[in-house]
Amino acid sequence: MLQTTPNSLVLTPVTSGRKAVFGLPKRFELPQEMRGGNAFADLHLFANFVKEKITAEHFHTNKILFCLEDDNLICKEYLHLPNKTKNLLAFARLEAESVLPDSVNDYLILNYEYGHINEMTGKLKSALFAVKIKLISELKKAFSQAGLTIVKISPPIFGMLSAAKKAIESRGQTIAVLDLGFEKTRLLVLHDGLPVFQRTFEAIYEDVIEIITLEKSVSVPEAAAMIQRDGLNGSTLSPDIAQKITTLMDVSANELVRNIRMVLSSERLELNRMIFCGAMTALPNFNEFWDQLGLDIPLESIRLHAPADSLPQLGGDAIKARLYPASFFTAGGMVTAKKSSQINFLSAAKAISGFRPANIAALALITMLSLVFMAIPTMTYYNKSIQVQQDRTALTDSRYNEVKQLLQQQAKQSAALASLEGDRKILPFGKSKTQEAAAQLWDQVSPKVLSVDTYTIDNVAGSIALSFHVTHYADFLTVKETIETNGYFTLAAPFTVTKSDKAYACSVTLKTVNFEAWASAGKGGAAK
Amino acid sequence: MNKPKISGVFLYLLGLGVVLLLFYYLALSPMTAQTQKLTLEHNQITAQLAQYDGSLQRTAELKSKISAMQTEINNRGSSTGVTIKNVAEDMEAACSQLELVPENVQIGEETADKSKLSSTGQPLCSASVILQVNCTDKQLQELLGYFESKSKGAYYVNQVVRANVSEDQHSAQITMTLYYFGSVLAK
Repeated sequence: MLQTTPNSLVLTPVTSGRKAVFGLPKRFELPQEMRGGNAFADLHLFANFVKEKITAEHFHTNKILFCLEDDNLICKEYLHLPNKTKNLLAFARLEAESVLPDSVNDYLILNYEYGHINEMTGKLKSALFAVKIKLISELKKAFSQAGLTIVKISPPIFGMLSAAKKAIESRGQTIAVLDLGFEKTRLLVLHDGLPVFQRTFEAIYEDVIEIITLEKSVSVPEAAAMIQRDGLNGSTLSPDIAQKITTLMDVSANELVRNIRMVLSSERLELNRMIFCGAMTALPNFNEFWDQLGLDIPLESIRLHAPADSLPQLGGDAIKARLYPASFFTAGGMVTAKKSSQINFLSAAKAISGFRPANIAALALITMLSLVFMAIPTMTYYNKSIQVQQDRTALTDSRYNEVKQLLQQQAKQSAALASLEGDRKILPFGKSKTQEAAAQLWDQVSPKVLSVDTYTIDNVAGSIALSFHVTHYADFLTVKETIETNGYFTLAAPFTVTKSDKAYACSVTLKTVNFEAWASAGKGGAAK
Repeated sequence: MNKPKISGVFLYLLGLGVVLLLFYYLALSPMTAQTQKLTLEHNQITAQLAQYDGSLQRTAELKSKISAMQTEINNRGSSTGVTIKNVAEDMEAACSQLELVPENVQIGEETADKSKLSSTGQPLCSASVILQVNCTDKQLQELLGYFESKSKGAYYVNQVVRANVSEDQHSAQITMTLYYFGSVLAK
């Protein structure tokens, strides 16, 4: 946990788990150029200084819980009518406009609703916390470059609000909680379990240290050790120093009391008790010193009002240094606050910086895909058009002229041949077979007969009427067998074989086997 | 009254959606159809160019092929060269090559069959032809062969009547139908 004062850096080792365990806070004097509230003037220098101290103290971690004090953020309480949580941020931005020196857009604004309703006005109270976006992003960047990771950036008052709401039982009562830290003094007024008012004041611790170092000519660590050992009014301090410290405390205490009374008056409340916590309360003789101030409001330790298990645990070195869990009341609240209710500027900055690029990236991706979806078919069409244009130009190339002519001629001739072939199919070319029939007749019949007298070839019916003479009847049978064996003709009944003087007169009808008459056979004009 | 706030991202996406929808219906669909047509045309032209390039390599071969085709066309074109007008000359040609003398030649009337048209739209015409000669069996076969395959006329032999006159000589009557396209008598 990192805390800053105008002149010091305070690093406290914290182990976070179900309960936060705090180690001994280490205080380092800032280098001269960073003092007087100039720690954030050069963030890289500051981050490197932090890193150097973490390494030197062997903290064995690079994670930083950054406490952003009031010096670097703006906090304002405001009243509003009951509204939805999401609308409160819009209210907060409106309210912020009245207190921010620059544009609201330059700030990260977070809202913390107290939940307490003013019985007179019926209004609720919230606190807005505003910090420059640039500061958060630069802090993150500088620490990251120094090898450190900031895990949370919160105002400590938020830790106090969170811890007090959870740990202090104030149902039906009005309680003022005073955190007297070394870095700041914080005041919180609770009524009926809910915050009513909060304010952060400058702590007097550093002023006390300064008085001692100047008066006693000791170093800051020596002055701090004296206070830790003897308290604010220890015997080692001269009456003059003690007086100065008392005056400082008196002024500070009176301011606190004045604020409390003002709130009580405006809210019409009556204070039941005031309880304290914080590092200064662990100093020796603190109670006696406070009593010496002579305030009319009694001060009680938080240990009496908060359950022990609601307070943070301490590590061994912190216990040895005589610190109490109450010293880390506010810090404990910062560590253990619920994530959903956190005032964390880091996550808020991440949400802003992460949301827009993510959206833009998604939209850019969708747009790109859409453009690709539109471009691909368009490009394809365009390329195809160009390609066909080129093809058409290539077709008109003069070197193809002769070939085109030849191919055209060839195509024409092919078509003409096809037409002729079609025409030829209509005509009887090759369909009339009488020469073949006459030749077959000559070959099969003539050698075996005395004479072929007559024959009539009917090329429409596929038949041949044949008359011939043979010497013997057996010769007719030979002719018949030859015809039947050959297979070109068949000898069909009726046939006649008649014996005359010296021979047999035969009259037969032959049928041509597989004869197919041409469709148009026998047609045509009659001969005159 | 509070005006409902509409997200810029939503408006952007809505606009983009509308643009895409319009693009789909107005541009993509016609473009896809056009692209398919262009692809088809490209393929056809590519094939044609390949054919041209191939033909360029063998122009001489192509020319000789065309010449051969022309010859075939000429030959086939003249295959129906015998019509009713010159059938008598064809009879004479048939007989003279076999040294025969036609005894009787009868040519019938021209008949047109308009249901059968040539590729040029001319009707199929026919006429009956009867040729009577005295010849040997061998000469008769050759005479039939002439009409069925050698002649430029398209004859269909319907009937052949052969009777003996002497031992070697026979009387043969060939009844045929001559076919050709286009009426020559009407011209």
